[in-house]
Amino acid sequence: MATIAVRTRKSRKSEGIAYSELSLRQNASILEYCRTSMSALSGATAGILGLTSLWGFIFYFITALMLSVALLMKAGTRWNSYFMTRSVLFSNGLLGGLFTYVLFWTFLYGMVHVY
Amino acid sequence: MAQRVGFDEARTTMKKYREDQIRDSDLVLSLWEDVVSDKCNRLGDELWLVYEQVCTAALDCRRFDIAEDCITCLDNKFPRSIRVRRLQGMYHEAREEFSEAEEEYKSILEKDETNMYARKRQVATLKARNKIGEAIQKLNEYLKSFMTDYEAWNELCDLYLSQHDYGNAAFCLEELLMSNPHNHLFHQKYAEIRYTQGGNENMELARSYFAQAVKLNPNNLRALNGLFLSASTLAVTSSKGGKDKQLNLKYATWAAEQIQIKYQTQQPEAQLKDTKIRECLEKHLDSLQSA
Amino acid sequence: MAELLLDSNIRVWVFLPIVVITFLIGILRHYVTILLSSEKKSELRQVSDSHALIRSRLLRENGKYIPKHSFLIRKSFFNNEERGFFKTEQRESQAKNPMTDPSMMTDMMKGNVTNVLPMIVIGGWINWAFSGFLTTKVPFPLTFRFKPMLQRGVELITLDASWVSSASWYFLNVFGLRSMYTLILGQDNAADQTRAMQDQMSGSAMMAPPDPMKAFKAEWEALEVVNHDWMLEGVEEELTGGVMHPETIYLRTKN
Repeated sequence: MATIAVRTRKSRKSEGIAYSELSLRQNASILEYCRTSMSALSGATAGILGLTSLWGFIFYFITALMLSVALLMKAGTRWNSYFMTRSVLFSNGLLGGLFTYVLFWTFLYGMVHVY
Repeated sequence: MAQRVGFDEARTTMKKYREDQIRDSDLVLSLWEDVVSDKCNRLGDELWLVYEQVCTAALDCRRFDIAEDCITCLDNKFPRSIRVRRLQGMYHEAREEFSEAEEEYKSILEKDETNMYARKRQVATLKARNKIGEAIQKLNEYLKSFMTDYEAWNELCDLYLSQHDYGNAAFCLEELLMSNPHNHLFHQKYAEIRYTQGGNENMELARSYFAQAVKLNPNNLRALNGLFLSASTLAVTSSKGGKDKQLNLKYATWAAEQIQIKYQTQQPEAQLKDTKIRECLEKHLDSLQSA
Repeated sequence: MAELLLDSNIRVWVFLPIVVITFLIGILRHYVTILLSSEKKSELRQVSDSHALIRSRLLRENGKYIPKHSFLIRKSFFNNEERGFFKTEQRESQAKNPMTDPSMMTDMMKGNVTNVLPMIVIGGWINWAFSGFLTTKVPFPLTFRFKPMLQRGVELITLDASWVSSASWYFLNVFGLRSMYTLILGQDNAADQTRAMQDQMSGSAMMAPPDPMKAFKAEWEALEVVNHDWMLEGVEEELTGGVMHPETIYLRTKN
C-alpha cells in the first residue's frame, strides 16, 4: 500500500499557515488510492466469505475504520503537517469506496456462492 | 559517483531527476554510459524521454558524440518533431554555432508561435553571445505575452542586475514576490536590491523585507546580517528623530544578538575563537550606541 | 421462496465475459483517447490573454506583499482609464460556431467517437448477445423498487429483487469500475469520463476564456476595488517581539 507523501506545506505566517496546493492534492490522491484499494480488497474478502445483507455493510465499515486508524497511526502526531483537518482521514472517499466495495462483493459472491 | 549501480536504480534516479528538474548532468551522463545505455531496449517507451534528458546532459558536459547519437535516434523516431528541433538548436548553441541555432529556433516559432522554450532559448543564445542589451529586450518582449512565467522574471532580474539597473531589477523581483510570497530567498534578494539602491526610503524597505525573510526562515543568516546592516544604517542616517533612531537601534541589536546565537550554536568552540565577525559586530554596535 | 439455482455455464459464458469486456473496453478507451487527442493548438493572443488574467489575479491576491508604490504601478498598468491593459486591449468575441470551424468539428467528433459511441454500441451488443440471463444475486435484500433497475430484460414479477439480469450487470460494472480505473491507469485517465468532464469545466475557464472581453471586464472590476494593505507593516516589531507604539504607526502611515 502506498505511503503518505511527506511533501508538505512549510513556512509559518502571522495570519495563518501557508499551504502548498500541489502537496495537498498529492496527499488527497494518495488517500483516495488507499481507500479504493482497501475497499476493493475488503469487497473481495466479503464476497469470498459469503457475507450477506447487513453483515456485509458492517464488514465494510469495520475495514474502513481499520484503514482510518492505520492512517492515523501512520500520520502520527504530525498529521497537522500533512492535512488541514484530521477528519479528512476518516471521511475521505467513504461513500465512493462503498461503491467499489459493493461491486467486488457482488462479483465474488456471485462467483463463489450463487452458482 | 555512479559505480555499480543496478539498472533499476539508475532508471528510477534518472526518472526522479527528470520529474523534479534537477540538473546534475555529470551524474546523469555517467549513469547513462555505465549502466543504462547497454540495456536501453529494456526501457520501453521511456527510452525517448531518457534520450532527451541524456542529450541535454551531454550538451552540458560538452560530450557532443553522445548528444549527436541521441538526436539522431530521436530524429529517426519522431521526424519533424518540435522538441527534437529544439535539441538540435541547443546542440548548435553548445558548439557555439549561434546563427544556426537562431535559424533553428526561428523555424520552430514559425511553426508554433506559442512555443515558450524556443523563445527562452533565443534569449539564452543572446546571453551566451554577451549581447545583454538585446537579451533584455527579447526577454521583455517575451514577458509581454507570457506575463506569469516567473522563471523568466527571475532571469530578467539577473540580467538587469548584471547591468546595474536596480530599479528594473526590483520591479522583476516584485513579480516574483507576488507569484511566490512565501519564498524567503526572494524577499532577501529584493531587500538586497533596495539596500544597494540606497536612500532612506529604500533602506526602510530593505529593512522590512530583510525582516520578512528572517520571519519566513529564521535560519537565513544572510538576511539577518542584512537586517543588522540596514537597521544600523538607518539608526545613523535617519532624520525622523530620536524615537525612530531608538527603534532602529533595537532592531540592529536584536539582529546582532541573533547572529551571535547562530554562530555559538552552530560552530565548535575552537572555530569560534577565530571567528572575527562577532567582534566586528560588537564594535559596530558599540559605536552606534555611543553615537 | 425457493432458492434459484443457476447453470454454472452462465457464469463462464455470461457473467465473467461481461466483467472482462467492460473492463477491457475502459482500458481500450483510455488508450484510444490518448491516441486521438490532438495537441491543442492555441494562438499566441489567447495564451497571452490568459497570462494577463492570471497575473492580475495574483496582483489582487498577493499584491499585499509588495510596496504600495509598486502595487499602484501595476494596478494602473491594468486599470488605467486611458492606457490600462484591460481598457485598451480589444478582442473580438471568440464564440465560434462549431459547425463552421472544421478543427472544432473534428474535436467534437473524436469526443463522440471515444465516449458516447462505445457506450451505445457495447451496451446494445451486450443486450443483444446476453439478453434474458439472470447472472448473479446481490448479497443483500432490496425492495421491489429496484426491480426495473436490476432486472432489465427479465420481466418476472415474482422474482426476488436481489437477482441481477445481464444488462443490469453490465451497467453496474460500467459505473462500479470507475474507481478501479483510477487505481490502474492513474489519476487523470480518460476511461473515467465524469471526472474528465469536471476537469474541462474548471480547466477551460482558467486557461482560455471563451470571451476575453468579458473576462477582462470582470477582472477590471475586481481589481478596481482592491485596496493595498501592506503585509510587511510592522514586521520588524513583530520579529523582535515588541509591541508597536501608537505614535510610530502614525509616523509610518504619514510617510
